Amino acid sequence: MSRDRLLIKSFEIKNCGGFSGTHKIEFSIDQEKNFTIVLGNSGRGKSTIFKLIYWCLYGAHYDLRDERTGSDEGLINLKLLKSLQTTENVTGTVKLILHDQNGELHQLERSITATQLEESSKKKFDSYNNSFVNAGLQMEVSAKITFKDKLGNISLEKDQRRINTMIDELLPQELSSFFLFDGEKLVNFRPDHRDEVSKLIQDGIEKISGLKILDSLILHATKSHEGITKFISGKQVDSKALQTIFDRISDDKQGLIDEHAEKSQQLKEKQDELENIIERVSSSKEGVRIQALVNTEESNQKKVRKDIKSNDQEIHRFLFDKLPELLMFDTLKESEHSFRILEDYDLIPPSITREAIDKIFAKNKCVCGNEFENNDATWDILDKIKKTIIDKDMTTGITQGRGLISQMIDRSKSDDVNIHYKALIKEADRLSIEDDALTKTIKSYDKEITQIGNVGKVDYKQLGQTRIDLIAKTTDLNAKVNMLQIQIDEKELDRIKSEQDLNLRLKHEGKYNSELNKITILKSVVKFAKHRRNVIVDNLVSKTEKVTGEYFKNSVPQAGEFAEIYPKGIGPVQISSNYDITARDGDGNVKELSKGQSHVLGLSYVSGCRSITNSDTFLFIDSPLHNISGDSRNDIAKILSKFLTNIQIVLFVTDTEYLSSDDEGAESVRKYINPENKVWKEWEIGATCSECDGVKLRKTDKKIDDVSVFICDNCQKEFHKDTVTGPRIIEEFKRVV
Amino acid sequence: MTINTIISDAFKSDDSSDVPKELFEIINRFLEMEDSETHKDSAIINLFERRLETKYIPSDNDTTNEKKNFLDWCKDYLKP
Repeated sequence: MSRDRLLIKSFEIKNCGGFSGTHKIEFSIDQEKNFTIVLGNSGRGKSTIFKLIYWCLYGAHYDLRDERTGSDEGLINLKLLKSLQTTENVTGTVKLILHDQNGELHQLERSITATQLEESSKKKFDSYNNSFVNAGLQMEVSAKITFKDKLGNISLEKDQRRINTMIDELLPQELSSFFLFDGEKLVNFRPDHRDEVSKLIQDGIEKISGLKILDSLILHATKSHEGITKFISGKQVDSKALQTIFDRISDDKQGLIDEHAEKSQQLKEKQDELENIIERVSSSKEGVRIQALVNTEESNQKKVRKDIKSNDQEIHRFLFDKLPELLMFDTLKESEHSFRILEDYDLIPPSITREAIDKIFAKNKCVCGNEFENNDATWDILDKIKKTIIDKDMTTGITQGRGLISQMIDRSKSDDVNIHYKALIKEADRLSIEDDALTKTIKSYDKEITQIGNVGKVDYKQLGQTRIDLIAKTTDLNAKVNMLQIQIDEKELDRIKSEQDLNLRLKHEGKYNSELNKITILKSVVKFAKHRRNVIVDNLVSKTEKVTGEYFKNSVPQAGEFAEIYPKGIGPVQISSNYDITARDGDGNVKELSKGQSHVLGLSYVSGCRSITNSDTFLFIDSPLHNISGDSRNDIAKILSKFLTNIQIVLFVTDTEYLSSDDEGAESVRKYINPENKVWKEWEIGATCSECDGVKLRKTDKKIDDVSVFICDNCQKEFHKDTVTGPRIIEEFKRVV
Repeated sequence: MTINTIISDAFKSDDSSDVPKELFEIINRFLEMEDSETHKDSAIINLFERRLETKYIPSDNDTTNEKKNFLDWCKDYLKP
C-alpha cells in the first residue's frame, strides 16, 4: 500500500532574521533525488530558517523566549526594525508551499508587521517578535492560507485560528519534533541522557501512533461512568435483600401457624378426652357431687383471674401515669426548698412587690402596723429585699412558678403514691392467694375423685389420675397455644412492615436500570480499550525496536560488535517497557556507545519511528552532523540515504560538516551521499559586506580562534567572528562534482 | 486527524473472538467522536451516553435478545 507523502516545496522569507529583502529556497519533491542541503557557516542563519519554518506552520516560536531569556534578535530583521522612524512600518514574512503526493496542497503565509507609533528610548519584551524591541513599536501578526474547497476551487482563509487547526490536522504540532528534528537531540541517545531519550521514545511511540485518541476515549468513558455512578449514588435500589427478609418473616410466621395448629389440635384432643373423663366421673352420685363442687370452684377461680387481670392493668396504668412525676419529685422538692430559703431570709416575700416596699418606705410603717424610724434596722432589711426584687413582673413570675411547683409536688407526693401503689399490690397479692387457694381446693377435689374407689365398672382412682394428667396437659398446651398466638401476631406485624418496605422499594426499583446498564457497558469499554492499548504499545515497541535495530545494525561503525538482527540474533537494539533504549552485544549485554554510535542510534530511532506512521512526512534536520567524526557523519548519511528513500530530507549543515574529509580517510558527506544521484539541490547561506552593498564575502584560508576569516573582494575588508557583516543572502551552491 | 491504522486495526471485529461485535462498534464510534476534536469533554461524554442509550441499552419493548445478550456479556466480562 502506497503511503501518503507530505512535502514543503519552497520556503520564502522577507525581512526576517538576518535576511533583508526576499529570499527563497526550493526543496526537492523528487522521489529519487530526495535530499536538499542548506549549507552555511556558524551564525549565518541555518537554524533561523529552521525556526522560521516552525513559526510559519504554527504561529508559535520554536524557542519561545521571555524577559529573562530574550535578546534583541527576533523575527523581523533587526537592522530594519531599528531604522524605523515614527509612523513607519516594516513587515517580516515567511511563505511555505506545501505539497502532497498529488501536487500543491497549500500556500501558507504568515507575517508580522512592526509600526513605530512614537519615539521612545525604552525597550520592552514583545512576545510576537520573540525579542526586546523599542517601547514605541506596535506588532501585528497576520496569516493566510490557500486551500481547495469541496468543489476543487482554490479558496483563501485568513482566520488564524482556522489556519492553525488546518495545519495541526496535517502536521500535528506535538509531533513536530519528528519532522522538524533538532540534530542536537541526537546527543540525548548517550547513556548519561537516559531521561531525555526515554521521553523522546515515549513521545514517538504514543504520539505518532495516535494512542492519544485512545487515551482520550478511555478518559471520557471513565469520566462518564463515574459521573453516572455519582448521579445515581444512593438513589438506585435493589429489592433482593428486602425480599429475602420478607420471605424469611413469612416463613417464620407460617412455621408458627403450623405449630399453633398442631398444638391447638393436641389441645382439642386433650380437652375432648377431659370432657369424656368428666362425663365418666359423673356416672356416680359421688362423682356428680364432686364434679359440681369442681365446677363451682372453677367458676370462682375464673372470676378471680378476671380480677387479677383487671388489677394488673390498673397497676400498669398507675405506674405509667405517675412515673414521670415520681422521677421529677426530687428536683421539685429541691426547687421548693430553694424558694423556702429565700422566704426564710425574707428576700422574696411572695406577695410583696417593689412598689409595696416603696410605700412602706414612704409611710415609715409596716403592713403589720409597726412604726419605725429612718435609721431603724428595718430600713436595711427592706433595702436588701428591694434589691432582690428587680421588678413587679419578675416577682409575680417567681411567685406563680413557686405555686406551680408546689402543686406538682402535692400531686406526686411519694407517700400518697406509695399508699395507692401498695393498695394495688396488696390487692394483687390477695387475689393471687385466693387463686392459689382455689387451685388447691380444685386439686383436693381431683384427689377426692380418686378416692371414690370402684363404682360399677368405673375405676375412679385411675379415672381421677387421668383427669389430673389431662388437666395438666391441657393447661400446658393452652399456655403454648396462647404463646404461639402472641408470636404469630408479633410476626404478622413484622411481616406487614417488611411488606410495606418491600413494596416501596419495588416501586423505585428499575428506575435507574438504564443508568446501571450504561455503567456496565462503559466499564467494559474502558477495560477492553485498556487491554488493547497494552497490546498496541507492546506491538509498537516491538516494531520500532525491530526497525531501529535494522537501521542501526546496517549503519553503525563497528557493527560486528552488536547483536545480529532478530531472528538471526537477539537484535542489536532493545526498548524496555519504560522506554529505555539500549544497544546490545551478541550476548545480550548492554553495550556502551561512542559519540558517533549514539548519533547513529538516535537517527535510527527517529527514522524507525516513521515506520509506524501513516504517511511519509518531510524530515528537516538541523545540525545532524554536529560534533561527530567524519566516519560517523557518513554513517548518519547512510541511514538517511539508504533507508528513507521516499522521504523529503533537508539537512541544515555547516560547510565543514558537509564538505570536509578527515585525516583518517573518511570521505566528505557530500561525496558520500553522491550529489549526482541523491541530492537535488544545495543552497548556501552567505553574508554580504557591511560596506559594499550586496557584495558577498569570500571565505579565506585564514583562521582566528579556529574560526574562518572572510574577505570582501571589493573593499578588501576582513570579517572575523565578531565583525558585523551586511545582510545574509541565499544562493544555490556552485557545485563542483 | 485520522485514526492511525495501528489503533483502528486493534479494534476490528474478529469472528474468531468471543468479544461481541457491539463492543467493537461502540469503541470505533467513540474513536470517531474523539477524532472530530470539535467537542468539549462534557459534549463528548454526553454523545457517548446518548449513543449507548439509543443503540445498546435494552428497553421493555425489545423483541430480540441481542441487547440483553451483549449486556450479559459485559457483566460477565467485568467479573474479577
